[in-house]
Amino acid sequence: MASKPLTMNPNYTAMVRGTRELHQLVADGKDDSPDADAVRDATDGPWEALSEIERNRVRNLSEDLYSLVEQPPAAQPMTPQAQAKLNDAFEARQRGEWDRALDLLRVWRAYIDPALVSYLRGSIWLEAGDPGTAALFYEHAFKCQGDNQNYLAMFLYALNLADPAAARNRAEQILHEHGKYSPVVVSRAADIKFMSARTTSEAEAHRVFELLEPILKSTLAEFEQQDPSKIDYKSYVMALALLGFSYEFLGKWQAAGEFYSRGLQLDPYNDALLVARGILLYGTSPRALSDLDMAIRTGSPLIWPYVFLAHHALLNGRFEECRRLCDRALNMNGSAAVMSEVSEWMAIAQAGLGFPAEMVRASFDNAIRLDSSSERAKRNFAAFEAAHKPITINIWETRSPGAVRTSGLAERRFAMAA
Amino acid sequence: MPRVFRVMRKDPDGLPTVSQTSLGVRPGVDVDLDPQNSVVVNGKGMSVAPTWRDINVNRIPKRLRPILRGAGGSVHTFCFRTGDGDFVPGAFATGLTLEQDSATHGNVVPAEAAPLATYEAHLAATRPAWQVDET
Repeated sequence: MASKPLTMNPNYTAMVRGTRELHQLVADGKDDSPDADAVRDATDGPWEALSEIERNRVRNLSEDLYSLVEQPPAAQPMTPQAQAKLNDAFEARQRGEWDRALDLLRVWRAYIDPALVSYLRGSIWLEAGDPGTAALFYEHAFKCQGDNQNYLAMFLYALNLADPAAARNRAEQILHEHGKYSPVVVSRAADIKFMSARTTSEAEAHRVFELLEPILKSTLAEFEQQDPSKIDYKSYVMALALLGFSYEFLGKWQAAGEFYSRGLQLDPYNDALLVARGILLYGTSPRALSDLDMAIRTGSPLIWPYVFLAHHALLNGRFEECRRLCDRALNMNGSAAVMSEVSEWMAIAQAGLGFPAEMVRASFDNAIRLDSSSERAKRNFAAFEAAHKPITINIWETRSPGAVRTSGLAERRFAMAA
Repeated sequence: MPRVFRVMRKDPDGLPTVSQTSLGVRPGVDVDLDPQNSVVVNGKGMSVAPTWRDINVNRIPKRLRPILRGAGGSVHTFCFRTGDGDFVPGAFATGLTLEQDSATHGNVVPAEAAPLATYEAHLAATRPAWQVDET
């Protein structure tokens, strides 16, 4: 059975949120306060709407939340039976049987380290689709075992999914004292800060990228001082990618390309890096085409490799390839301007392939509807209508690789799904 | 009388406290009032359940955690029971009926439109019939 997140319907979500708030109040000694009563009142309605399975899940979650403030049970020496049950818990988690995995952990928790129990609970909740609950358990794992900063990195990751503003605050604290934290944690904090900076003003984004540059360089140096067998390569590649993205946004493209290449040496199939380097090199190096092609082969959800390779195919008269790539791109997420230009290329490719005039017109219409300011699309449409059919000569106006690269880089500034 | 449970505070005599959040209702929340301050008969009323285990886990007193995982209610509250009949709609006590909205929840409502004070008095009159039952 494939792992599947829990169904987070509104009543269940409200019940879980209320239960977490209540436990926070209990932890603060406000068990019998008006605030606690207000939470209880607010959860009465959602409780009535829950199925019995959901009610049991909430009861069990509430019980597990007590572990965040209570002393753990007395540690027990591992036994074959406990080991078998904990293995069952791991396997249940892998199968996506979240409730069973959590039940087994609850029953056999005395046989493993409390920090590991919380880490596993966090991982189960994260995979089950509840990062808010996951963050609480990851944070507790770190409190239990402060020298394991991987727990802190996981906490930041889950918190960023559940509450980006809180994660940004925490990330800023960490970056402010980055020397105190492991490179894995600093990389995660930098990632959170970087992603939030992309949506701020240009000036603020520049300030953030310039702030992150020395921190990330120092983080890379720390990674490189580690025993190679112990490096967290995922975090290392993330730091390299963040430096590349930072340089790209600062317009330092050569430096950006170098960091993308270093990341790709370690993770050759990282689609975000392949796309980033592919766009950066488009029109200047054949490596761009192989990067973008590889990104498509890895199943990248990003629109860019399809867009750039469609443009390349169009410029080289490979209309069927262009049409196929445009077709894929038009079913992905992209800005109206990008989708308009792709529709325009689709129309040109269809015309080149001798498609019925109505189909070509529909594609041009789509291009103009998506971006009514595209005078080029209107001129190409007019050229199509005026031309003798079938069209055997190049009558089309298309942008150069450099122009497409420049606009692609500009769009990625604030829409990049790195 | 249907057998019902409700989590309430307890007075020194061992019986439930009469108040809006114990043996009583919160006007505007648990019941709606008309302009004459009479309780509207619309199914709303004092919330009850057929067993205490069916009640919102955040209300079950936390001392009951060994019996019911996750209980998160105040330790100053108790699970009270009254009645011995089936959990079905019908007469509950003088001036009161039980309305059932699911297999695990119901409301003790006024049998007919009545001033809030009358409804509250009817609820308070059931006080001697309640006893703590956390088994």
